Amino acid sequence: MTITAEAESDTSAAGFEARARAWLEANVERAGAVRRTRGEELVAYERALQAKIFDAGFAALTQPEEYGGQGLGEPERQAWERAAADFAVPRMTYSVSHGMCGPIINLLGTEEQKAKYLPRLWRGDDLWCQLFSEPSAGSDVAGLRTKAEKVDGGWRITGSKVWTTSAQYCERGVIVARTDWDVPKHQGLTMFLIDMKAEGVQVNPLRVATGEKPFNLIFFDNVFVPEEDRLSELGKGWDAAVAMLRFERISIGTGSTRSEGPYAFDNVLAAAKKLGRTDEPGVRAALAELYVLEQGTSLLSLRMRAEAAAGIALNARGSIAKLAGAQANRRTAELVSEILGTALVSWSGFTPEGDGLYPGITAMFAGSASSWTAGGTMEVQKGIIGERVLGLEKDPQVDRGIPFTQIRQGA
Amino acid sequence: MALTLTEEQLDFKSAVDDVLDSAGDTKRVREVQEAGAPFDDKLWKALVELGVPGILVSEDHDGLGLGLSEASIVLQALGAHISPTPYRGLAIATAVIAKSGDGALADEVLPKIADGSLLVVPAFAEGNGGWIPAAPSVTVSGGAVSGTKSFVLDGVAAQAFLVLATEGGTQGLYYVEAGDGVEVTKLDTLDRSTSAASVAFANAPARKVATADFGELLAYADAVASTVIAANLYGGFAKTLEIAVQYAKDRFQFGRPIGSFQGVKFPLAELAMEDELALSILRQATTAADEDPEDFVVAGLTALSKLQGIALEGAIRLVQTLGGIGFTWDHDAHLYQKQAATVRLVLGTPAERSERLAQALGI
Repeated sequence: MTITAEAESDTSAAGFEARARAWLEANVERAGAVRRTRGEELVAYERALQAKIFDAGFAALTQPEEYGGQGLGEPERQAWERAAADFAVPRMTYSVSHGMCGPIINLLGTEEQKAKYLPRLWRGDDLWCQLFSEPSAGSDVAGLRTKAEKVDGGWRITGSKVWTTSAQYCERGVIVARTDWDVPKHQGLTMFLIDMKAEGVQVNPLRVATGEKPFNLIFFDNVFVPEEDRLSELGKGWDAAVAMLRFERISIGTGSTRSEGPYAFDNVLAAAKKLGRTDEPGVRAALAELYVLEQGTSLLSLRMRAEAAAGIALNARGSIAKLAGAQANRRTAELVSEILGTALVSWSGFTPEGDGLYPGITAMFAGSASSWTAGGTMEVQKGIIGERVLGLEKDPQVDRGIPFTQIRQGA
Repeated sequence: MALTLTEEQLDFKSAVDDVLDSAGDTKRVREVQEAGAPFDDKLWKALVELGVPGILVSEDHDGLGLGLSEASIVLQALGAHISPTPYRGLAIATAVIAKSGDGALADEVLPKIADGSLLVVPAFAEGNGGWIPAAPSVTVSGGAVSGTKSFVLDGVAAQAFLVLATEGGTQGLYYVEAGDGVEVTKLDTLDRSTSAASVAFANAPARKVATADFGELLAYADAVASTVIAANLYGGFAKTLEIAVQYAKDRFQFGRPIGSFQGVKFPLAELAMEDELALSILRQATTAADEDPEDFVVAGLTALSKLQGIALEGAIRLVQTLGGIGFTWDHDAHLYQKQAATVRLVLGTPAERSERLAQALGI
């Protein structure tokens, strides 16, 4: 496809889409053209590509121009997504940087912080991670125990964080630490921007059930953070974290598109055909159910985006998208096993460079549990939906209103 | 793709809700149902005045010239109120006649449908099978139809039927007026807001519906019917969730509202998720019908499959949230449960519908 003179001067979303498509044709590989394993290789590829996309004016479309964005609207963002769906544009690498860290800096940052960090963040020069969860603070994130102590010109941070996506590749992170131990747990937290390459930061990749190392366990030993890198007001770290988790629930819950991944209906159908199983009534029913599942989550995501574009606040309904995505993944894993049978759990001649369909499905089968848990377990989401969407009363909270130091701790 | 309602659609929705709210609460619905009437005449008259029968009729034929998105608004409201009206059957038949391309039939019947003076419903199902029999035993010969159709939705008071029949080995749709040679027998139904009849034809005059591609028209009819029933089921589902959530806030046990217990809260949260998923799929179907005919068949079948999967669960969860009062005659829960249990089967079992979807997906 060549870019036409009309498309060049067309300022509509359609014109934008045509220009985006033409640029993508010329500069980016087709989705699936090259199979890459996750990890270092993928990060290197996506980093180089993100800089190219940024320099061409197709990154950070809805972000303000003064901080490296394009200052465009939702129609252009959607136009880009439509055009980019067929291409191997960065998806995994920047989901936290761009889906969570950028938006929270944009929301809470000072002029100096935004000017210093955002252009490099959107261009992908700096990769960012989110540092909330701790070994002893999972669903109860507000019970975190990493401490930040006031020192001359800034803070010293000591403690540990876990489940940190891609931290081994990151230049910077957004961290929540406890700055006051004598107030109730939510009131003693503060959010900082931290240099992941600073002295005292030790990043340990964490191997999960698929064999991959997508997350990390990180130790902070007396790491210095200058005062100008404090992001939230003192003691307002929880509010900041909630705002950021909301971005996460949106970015995790609405991130999937139909055409991608070994779990996608089209791929599973192709595998079922290859195995000659599509005449079996149970397999046909499972395929139909898989289709309905996939339509549900992708249409819900489209609808929520349309509502957001129309100015309808999403609020806690992001948790509905998150729960729906997690439940769909869980059910899909069951359905795929019913559709493919033993081909799902055994194969011969597998090489990572091969067609990769069955091993890919297998990896997702073992890995789907991370989507039920990342960003809050399904039970956490149900609590949020029950209380903040339906308006049901909260569970009695035994740790409410008492100083953090007096809350019961497990072993 | 419009997955959100426009200003005009929101206005239309509030006009429909006003009519249904002022038609009386479920006490009135119970009176109509217990009297054994096929539908609520007074309510239907009010809906006719609003132009409801003409939603799917073009302005050229004196209708409102709207689409399935607006019909869906009405069907949802009817499900939410458990209101007995003939709109489900009428909406399906109207859409099929308008789509067929039979100009003479459209000129003759659509204006009458639009002004509320003519009730036409589809008569497809036979025996105890699905709603579209593979080989209809009802046959047409020499311009007359014979044989029996079962579970004809809203057929009790219908003045005409769109009959799926075989003529010389070829299937077609036929327009058959009630009268000599047409015997309508009202069926007893679990849900009294759903009226159905068995219709026996004995050499009744039948007029073939002219259409360029019968297979395409039949697939369209299935998608329209699926969308109509899905919308109706969704209305009931969303209402049962609303009632359950309200009760979970109002009812106290152990010194707490029962909705604060995770055992009550979590199932309701799951249904809230199902509500959002179902509404998204339903909007895709109605939007596709109005704007994207190529995707409509799959989208319509998908919507019904989704709603078949959750409608009964919603009604049962309401009963369970209510506890003892949930299975008393005086509470409305059983009316919703009967409606969901009945309506989800009117186009066939979930397994039959799932197979239809698989076929439409080219599996």
